[in-house]
Amino acid sequence: MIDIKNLKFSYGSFPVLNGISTRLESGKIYGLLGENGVGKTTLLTLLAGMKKPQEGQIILESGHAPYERRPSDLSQIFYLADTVAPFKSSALDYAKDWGAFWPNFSMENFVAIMAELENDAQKKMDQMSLGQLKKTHIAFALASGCRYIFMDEPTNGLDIPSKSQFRKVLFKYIGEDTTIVISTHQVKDLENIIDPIIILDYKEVLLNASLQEISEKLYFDYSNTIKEDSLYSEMIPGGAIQVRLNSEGVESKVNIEALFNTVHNNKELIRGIFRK
Amino acid sequence: MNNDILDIKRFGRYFMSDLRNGVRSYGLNTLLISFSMVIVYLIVGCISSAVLGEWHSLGVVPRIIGFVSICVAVFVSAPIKLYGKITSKQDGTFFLSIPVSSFEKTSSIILNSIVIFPLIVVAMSLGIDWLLCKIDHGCGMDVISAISYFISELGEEIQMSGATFDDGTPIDLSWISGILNPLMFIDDFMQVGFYFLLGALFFKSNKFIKTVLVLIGMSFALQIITGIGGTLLAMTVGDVSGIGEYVLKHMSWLFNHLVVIDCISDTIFNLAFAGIVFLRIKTLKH
Repeated sequence: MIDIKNLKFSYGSFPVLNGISTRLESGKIYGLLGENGVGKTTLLTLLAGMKKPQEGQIILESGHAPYERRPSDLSQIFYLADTVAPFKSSALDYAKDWGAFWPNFSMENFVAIMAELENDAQKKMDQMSLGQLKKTHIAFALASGCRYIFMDEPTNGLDIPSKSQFRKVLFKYIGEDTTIVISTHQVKDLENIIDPIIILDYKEVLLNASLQEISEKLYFDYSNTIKEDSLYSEMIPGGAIQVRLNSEGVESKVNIEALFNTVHNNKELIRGIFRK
Repeated sequence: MNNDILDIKRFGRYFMSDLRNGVRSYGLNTLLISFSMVIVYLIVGCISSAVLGEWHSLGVVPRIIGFVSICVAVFVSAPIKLYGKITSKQDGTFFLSIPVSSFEKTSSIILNSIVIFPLIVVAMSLGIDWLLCKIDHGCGMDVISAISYFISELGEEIQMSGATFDDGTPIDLSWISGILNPLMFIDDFMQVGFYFLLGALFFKSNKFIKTVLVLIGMSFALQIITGIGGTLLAMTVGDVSGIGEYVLKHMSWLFNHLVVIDCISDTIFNLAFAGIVFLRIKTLKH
């Protein structure tokens, strides 16, 4: 569990995170969504201890802040940045050299994930394509056995088969109590994986709710007739999608893209509905 | 219980991984710098054979200059090449996320860039030079023998001249061989390494040029400060000849303790630089 309390961060005079508070529970795969520039990457880097909060706190289960960068805390955190480093070694040597620093790192899992992602572990990393390099770092992150894994746009650069392989290995190789936060714009790549959903705005967390809570409060209507009371509607191939308040308590499949647009267009209303 | 500041086992493992990574990224450069004197030696020999029709070996003086240049090259390039990438986001984020303390990371950085790799280059280039002189007798003395010979010759010449300080104290020549001892230059070269390590860790791009410009700027600033200080002192005290006399009077003491003073001041500087490197690593953000 990670507690984020009144977190503030700005770049010069430009505020990015303006006092956000939320809690990340154990054993969940959070989808971190937000417009460009709202601070998704900044939040992930703050969670991973790459940056120091200017105000507010992030408290890990150990009671320490990530920025203290204590080896005992870092050994439970893995941050996969959107741009990754091409080491001058084979993927296997890279895992052998550095994996040992994460106490739960499994070389066996690394090799297995690399195989499932159809990536050659013997290939030198500086000779890999962007997608292959990304897959190597994804394999390392999932084999690390960390309690907290933060991934920034992990599916960027992956080809279509690799995206589905990524979804498979993500479910297969993470521990039950692992908390994963995935920041992404490619919501369709991760639609059946991420739960809960966090939607970040310039000033605050607009939404931090599980798919169950979302479907209890919002109804995703896939019928062709656009209703007047819809909060958001959009024509999609073969019909339409519209989001309405779930006043009748009917369950529906959450469409994350439609959810994001609904939240974006109805900030005050959504905030009120999901306020705990 | 794991120690969050220093765990010897963890540090040892990290240092070895860091060293292996360094060999991969800087190994070829290490070999090139070490063998640069042989390359120049062969070029000179080949050109002289082609132009003059006979093999001319590279003399001892150019080889001493070459050796000093090699030392400078490794102390300047090793920190930038080995750790300059830490300031970039893609390499820096992984570096920061490795579960090793900032103290251990700093120690490994200093050991690799300022001790291990320069030591390898110096040992290899001296060994190659020694081997070259064993094979080709036209080379004359090897660099180490030549430096030792130069120091003892210089010492004898000054002794023979019967030189004394202004206060009449005979010059104790032990300091000359002491201060010219190649071992005395190790901490000076380390200082050069530290300058460029700090440049590698503070500047995001053009690390070499920016470090050189900062050094030039600092030397200018130091000259201006000492100039202003001297002027202010002269204006305050009025007659500064007394100070000059005082300095001259104690010059013999200064020279006779030069080895100790040099060692202490260099050690203080190097420790201060190591402290700045630690603070930089501790507060590095991505």
